[in-house]
Amino acid sequence: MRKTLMSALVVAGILFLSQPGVMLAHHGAATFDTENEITVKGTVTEWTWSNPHCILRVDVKDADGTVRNWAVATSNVADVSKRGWSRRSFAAGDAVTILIQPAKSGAPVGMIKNVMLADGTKLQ
Amino acid sequence: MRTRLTVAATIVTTLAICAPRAMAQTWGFPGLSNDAFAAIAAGGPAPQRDLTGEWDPGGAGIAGGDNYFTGRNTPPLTPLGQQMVSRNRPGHGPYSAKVYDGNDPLTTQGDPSGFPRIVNYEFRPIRIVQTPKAVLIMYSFNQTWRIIWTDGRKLPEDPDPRWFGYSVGRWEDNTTFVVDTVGMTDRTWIDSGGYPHSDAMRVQERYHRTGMNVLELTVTIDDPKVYTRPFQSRDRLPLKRLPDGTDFLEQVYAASEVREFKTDVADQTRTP
Repeated sequence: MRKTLMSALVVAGILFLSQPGVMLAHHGAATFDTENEITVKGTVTEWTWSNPHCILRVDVKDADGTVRNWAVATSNVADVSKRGWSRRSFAAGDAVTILIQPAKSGAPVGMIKNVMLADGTKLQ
Repeated sequence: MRTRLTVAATIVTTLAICAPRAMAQTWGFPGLSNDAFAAIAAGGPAPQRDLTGEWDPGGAGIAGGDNYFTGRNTPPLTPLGQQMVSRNRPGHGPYSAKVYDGNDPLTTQGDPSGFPRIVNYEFRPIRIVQTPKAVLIMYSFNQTWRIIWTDGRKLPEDPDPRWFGYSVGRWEDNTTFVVDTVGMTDRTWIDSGGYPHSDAMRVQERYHRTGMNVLELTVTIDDPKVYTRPFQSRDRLPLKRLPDGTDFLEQVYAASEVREFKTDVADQTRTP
């Protein structure tokens, strides 16, 4: 039973990580680490519905317990609207799991590949 | 049995007639998905001298990707053109800069796209209105419009530069509308790749309606100060007709929003 559960989790993880992500709509993609995407879990502090990129701000606890506020961006409002995102996709306090292409600078910023909400809804 | 068939046929017919209206009466349409765009066929012969309606250039209209630049066959730049492009640090194309170093006037400062950039990048759904003296093109991107005068006036000879220039149009035949534009400020780029232009640039657009639901756009740029020969920035780009009365999503690149992305995300990517 445990083995089956582990296998399922591994498959789910692979599927999650292999989903097609958000295209970088603008600006020097080389600035972001497309080779080493990371998954962060956190709590939404703000969702900005704006152009040329919508911005999701999330408090994320590091391994040492330090909380950093990440600012991660997706595409513009028209492109994400076509994929089912909206101004009301997130509210402060929502728990989210985000697959990110982080900045190579190490700053808590990046481009969103996809976001999983607590109820299992995935936006990408 | 015949009655049932008649009722069923009436319902199907009613739905078919009402469906486009129902679609059109929604708000904030963001543009067609790639699949929906591909599914719209020619839809019968083109009406004569009529571009009226809502049109979607689809994913190719948005452009900005490598495919757009590799497919365009941009001619070599003149020495002045090379000097001008060296000052530009775009987010796309062969001159791409790091995101924190970009100086795209549209995406880092919130300047207007200007013309012809408005048809070369982020070319989103448009509404075309024909009046007795002009054709109006209303762009959903940045809620911008252009007036194409069709009353016989000549282009100005020494115009003050404008973001969107000065345009006159004429029907070349019953399905081809040709627009000539001059007088664009050289503060704008012609695309998202940082390609410059001078105030001597002339642009010609050809709108060829090939069917009820399809309009093809070809854009020719002629700027001998900057490019060694004229070239086409759009070559028969298809636009697909949307249901009458479609309301478009508002997509404005407000300076305050552009600045927020730059300071809070882009600038933070700078490596020490």
